Amino acid sequence: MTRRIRRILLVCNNYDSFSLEEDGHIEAQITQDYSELNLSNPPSIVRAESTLDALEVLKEDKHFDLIITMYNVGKLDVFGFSSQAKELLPDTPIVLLSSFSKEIYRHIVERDHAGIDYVFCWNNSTDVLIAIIKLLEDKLNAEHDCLEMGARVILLVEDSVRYYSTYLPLLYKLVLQQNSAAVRDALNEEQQFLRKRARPKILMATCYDEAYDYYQKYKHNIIGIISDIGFVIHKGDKPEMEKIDAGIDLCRLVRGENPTMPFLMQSSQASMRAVAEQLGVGFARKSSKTLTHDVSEYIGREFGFGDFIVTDPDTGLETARAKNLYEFEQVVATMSDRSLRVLAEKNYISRWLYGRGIFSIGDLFRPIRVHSDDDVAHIREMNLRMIRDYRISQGLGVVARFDPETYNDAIWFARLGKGSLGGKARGLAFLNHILQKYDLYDKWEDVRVLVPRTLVVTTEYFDRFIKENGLQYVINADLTDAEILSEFVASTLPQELMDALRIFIRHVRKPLAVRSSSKLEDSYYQPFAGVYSTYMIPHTENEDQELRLLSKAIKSVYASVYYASSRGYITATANVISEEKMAIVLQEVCGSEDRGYYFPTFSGVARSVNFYPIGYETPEDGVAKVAFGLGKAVVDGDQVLRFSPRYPRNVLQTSTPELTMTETQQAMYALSLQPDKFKTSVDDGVNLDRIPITECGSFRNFARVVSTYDYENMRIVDSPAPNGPKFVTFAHILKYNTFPLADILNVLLEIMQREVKCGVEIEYAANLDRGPEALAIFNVLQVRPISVDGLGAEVDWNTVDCSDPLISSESAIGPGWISGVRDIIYLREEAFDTLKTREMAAELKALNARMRTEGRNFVLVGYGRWGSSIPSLGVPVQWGDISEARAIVECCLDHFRVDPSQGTHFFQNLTSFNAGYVNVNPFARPGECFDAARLDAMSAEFETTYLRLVHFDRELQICIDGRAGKALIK
Amino acid sequence: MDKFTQNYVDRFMDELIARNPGEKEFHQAVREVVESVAPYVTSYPYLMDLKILERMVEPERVIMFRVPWTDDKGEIHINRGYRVQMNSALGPYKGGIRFHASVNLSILKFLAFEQTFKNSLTTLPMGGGKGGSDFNPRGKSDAEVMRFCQSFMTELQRYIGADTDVPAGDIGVGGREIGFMFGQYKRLRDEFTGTLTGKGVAWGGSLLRTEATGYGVCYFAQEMLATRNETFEGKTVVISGAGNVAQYAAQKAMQLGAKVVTLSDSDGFVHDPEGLDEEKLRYVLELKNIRRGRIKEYATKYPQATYYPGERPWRIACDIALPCATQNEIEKADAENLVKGGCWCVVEGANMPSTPEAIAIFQSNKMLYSPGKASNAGGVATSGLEMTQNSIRQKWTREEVDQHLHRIMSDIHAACLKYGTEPDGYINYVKGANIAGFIKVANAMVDQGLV
Repeated sequence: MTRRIRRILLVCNNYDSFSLEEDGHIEAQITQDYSELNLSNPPSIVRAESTLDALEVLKEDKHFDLIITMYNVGKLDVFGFSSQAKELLPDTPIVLLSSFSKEIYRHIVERDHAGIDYVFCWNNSTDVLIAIIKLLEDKLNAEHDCLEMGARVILLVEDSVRYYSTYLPLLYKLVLQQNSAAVRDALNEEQQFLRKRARPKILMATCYDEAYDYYQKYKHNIIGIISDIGFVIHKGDKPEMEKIDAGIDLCRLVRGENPTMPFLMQSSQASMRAVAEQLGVGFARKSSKTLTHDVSEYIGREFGFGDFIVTDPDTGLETARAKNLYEFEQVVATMSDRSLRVLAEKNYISRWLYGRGIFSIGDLFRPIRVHSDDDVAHIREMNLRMIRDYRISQGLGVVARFDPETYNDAIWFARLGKGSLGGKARGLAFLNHILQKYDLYDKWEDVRVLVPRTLVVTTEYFDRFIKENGLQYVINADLTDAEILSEFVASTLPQELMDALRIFIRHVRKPLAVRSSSKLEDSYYQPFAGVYSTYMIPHTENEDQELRLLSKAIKSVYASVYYASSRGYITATANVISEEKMAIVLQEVCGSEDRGYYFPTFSGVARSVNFYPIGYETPEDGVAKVAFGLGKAVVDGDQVLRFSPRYPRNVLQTSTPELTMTETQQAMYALSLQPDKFKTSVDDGVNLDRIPITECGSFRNFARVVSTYDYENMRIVDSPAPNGPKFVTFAHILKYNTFPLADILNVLLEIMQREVKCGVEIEYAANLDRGPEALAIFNVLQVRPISVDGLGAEVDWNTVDCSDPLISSESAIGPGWISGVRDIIYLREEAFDTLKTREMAAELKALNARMRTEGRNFVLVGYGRWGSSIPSLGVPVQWGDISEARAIVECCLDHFRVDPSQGTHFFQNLTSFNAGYVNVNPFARPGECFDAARLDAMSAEFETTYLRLVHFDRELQICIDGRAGKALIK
Repeated sequence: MDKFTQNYVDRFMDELIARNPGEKEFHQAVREVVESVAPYVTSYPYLMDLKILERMVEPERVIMFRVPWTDDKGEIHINRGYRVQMNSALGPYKGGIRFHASVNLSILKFLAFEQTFKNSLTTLPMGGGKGGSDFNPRGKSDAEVMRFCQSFMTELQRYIGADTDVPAGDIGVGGREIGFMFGQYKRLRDEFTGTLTGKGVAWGGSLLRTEATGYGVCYFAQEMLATRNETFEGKTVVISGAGNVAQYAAQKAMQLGAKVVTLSDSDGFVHDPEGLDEEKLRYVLELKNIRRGRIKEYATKYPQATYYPGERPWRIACDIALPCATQNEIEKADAENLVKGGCWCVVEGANMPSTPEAIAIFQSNKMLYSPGKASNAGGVATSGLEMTQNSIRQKWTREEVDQHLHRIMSDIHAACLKYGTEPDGYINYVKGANIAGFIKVANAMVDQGLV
């Protein structure tokens, strides 16, 4: 806890009071000074007219953090008062404030002043009061803030009351101004608070012993020392015992241990300058008219205060200057090798960072010593990465207000306007917060985990857009989607928004995803995902053109609120369309440019619960899908790679060459960078190109995700070998861990599930194509509770009536309850013959086609393995032959017990159609059943030699619960 | 079939079924062979007397063993391993290893039985065998597959060897699995010999494996044409399929002077009246092998070609047809179309592409017709050539392998000719292949006494 001076007892007579308050009430003055210096919580002041009054006050009220007393304060003099006051409040410091008078000082020296902690000289400015307060606070907090938090220290060694009374306020002003510059770099109040606390502390020593003790205690925190030359050795020594070169002793001690430690020597004697120069330290003459300027200049330069200034090592002329971290990063990137080397060796970089309270990277810079020119490039790269990481890490987890003046590349998540963020953006902000909370940003070496750079245009602008353009009528008008879109696109966005967007695109310089963030999405469980549009626009060098594309995309997203499908959705979910307000999420698209396209190395989704566990996966292990290129391939249900992040080396689709060749990704999506491809369209994928995998060979990223079939040796080679067809296996990443995808997903799923308190789905994308210098980027795009699909709601089997089932099993995978099925097609047991399975397949194909035209789904029951490649083991159907089945059941017969397929033959299809797979084997698991006799007793709507179709006039109850591995059909 | 023979077959099958109950696949395979060779057997009574057929259907040795292995989680699994050493009359047992959930003794016996005659037909010194396990590589990691292969070989190595039994790959056993098994064999036996075929080209595998079947089809066809004093030169050739066999059959046919006018895939076929050339074939190889595209793209690239969706190429007029796609791709009507289109030679590259009705039409029209088991034996032959190279510790160039392949196909043809020539001079390649495969094994067994 920071200790602060909150209440002050000021003991002064009315005259002094008058002189103190000639510029207004003293508290008001202090408050004003505090706010000018960006300080918070000014102290309150209680005044006593005399020492006796003061003692009375103290007897009643001991809650004072500081007592300041003037010299002439009644019958009881200050010395007597201070010793009595100390008895009452032994821990409260007492400061004697007096106008400058040699007489008084002589008194002080002569009298017993043990009760007085500091003597200050009143110079008619509240500055000194603030300096006193801050000095005492610094002393109270130094141990904690410096030794535990790493705050820096400026050590002032001075025994002249008059001098330090003018000097300390000056020093504080410098430190506080410097600090408020650093605080401005902070993105929100919490960071500001931390930065404020991190400002350098000033510790004042008035004798050699004290200076020595401070130095020894804080030597790793001291950023500079300002020292008088002559002062006493021990506390309480009389002034005449002053050692005239004590400051030089101190300097030698410090410099001996730490040759780069800035040291400013001060003396009233000009002759000391030569001594200082000889020692290689700074010098300021106390009586100099330019003292203030000289000191500021020295401190600014040597203590790393003020702007970061790069000078030409030869001419000494300034070549670059940085006011904040953003500029600092750019200066470090561009300064000459020689300058960098000189500055690194002088420890200036690290000192500048320390001076701004940025210890975490200041510490990293500290050990840098340059031995050769080769090191310089390395140092520069390392420094830039550290600065950048620091700036970004500061930007993470924070929702900053978009300010065109200060917006920069390290502000990761900003909001524009006063309205609501909308559901999706709130989810993103949450995600952003969680990533920061768990320090995931640089948890993995060589990869940075974060949300994409985001700007949220709040609902305020939607309201203004609708109102200013008079579009309210659209709600009730009978318009087609295309008509609504053209109405909206022809309207104009508020100018203020356009101005802000211009600043935004200037900083981002990458393609943008323009997503809806609907207000009604607020409710976790309403699945709006995919109802509204998401457009992507390319970055173009022509800012006006890009702005035009962006505004068109925003208007298109706004328009989608009123599309027929969204209206239908809103009605169906009992929301009112006039309540719908849209925020817009603008996000940098993860990826890089390649041959006119833009796409990430891979993208996908991961779920913390797996309804289709196979092999030794359990439902809790979770499951992920990953595709080369944009996530549209995954979201649209294309064939992409599915794996369990717990077992990334056991991927069904790539476990044999045959599967690899038929079951892996066939095409990828990429954003076309041609601006003219982005047309006004209700289709938000208008400028996304679908590229067959076979035509992806020349994309740089391709090599990271493919394996090759080697015809000559009849095997899959997990490399992009030159000859042979390529398949998207992600073997490099999943088998050989060239990128910690599985680990990242495991950690994310685990954390998100814990934070959201239910099963979650995460969308992600990663770009590994960042050149040799930059680290890979892993973007978390979205997190949502899994039940938004309406699927996978946990089945409480205790409440399910399992009596009298048609089919029951303890071995099943599937999404839970399946509705809308009234038909069962099953193989006739008496006609089943393993040599006739081809004929059965042909009959099924015909029947399935009929069911398709009639729009009917069914439960399919048979013996052996559905889709077996070997006809003697089951019916060799293709998925197309049974596509209308919503549950596939494999049964055993007494004389025909084959290993079940466990659904792996049609795995892709089952998962994308949310169908179920059931294995019934009463021989292995007594109690399981398929009640064929009951179906046989019913009349068949259709039957052939080998199969029967039985229709129910009620909906079948079908529950196939992959989580519990149980199935019930009745 | 005469009554005596029919009785012989029926009696034989009854006994077989009684001795091997429940092995449906095995029964079916034996019946097909017995029916085709029975007339021959009954006309050589010593074969009956020595119970050659009865001996052939009883494997010389069946090894069945436990294959324990641990998965990546450390859990223990037990699979069952098999090796059916069917017949070694002509050479070391030779036949694939299959890893598939369907593997059981019946299936392996049936496959090993067929393999014996296939190998015999190649004229190479190879006996017949088959092996495998009910291990399913689906969903297994590389490490799990390796541990399984090592465990499997740890037991199997006792029973195999370059001069005893030389397994090859099959379903579920490709280059990866052969590699793991070979490594374990070598480690346990401390010998680098050609005990497995299908090895990596860098460590004992043969060249030309990809091309062998397609080339072999054409070499065989060449021999067939020669019986009518014809060559490929100037002939119009219709090929179905666009995979390995079709590609290299097309290439070889072109090299031999023919004009290849069609290729197909499961979606349809392309007809290029001008015929393929080197450049077009290169495009097809790239299209199918690298880009894995559809054959219809050929017609886009070469507009003179026409794409016929959903059709087979058999109605295109031609001299020679090479069905290289899949089974049952020439049905009765297709066969009639071929006859109508002037086709007089059908050489099968695929396995059983012609239905029995189609074959009957070819034969009744006295066309040159060769079943796949004879004309596509080039694939099996390269396995034998790999053994040979390993045994003589040499590695042949592509050209050398090609020469041997050519010779083998001629030899197979000669054998078919020997046993298939009918009294009217027509060569019944079906009969020839069946009997040639059988008779060599049978005679060797006779020669080697009752073992």
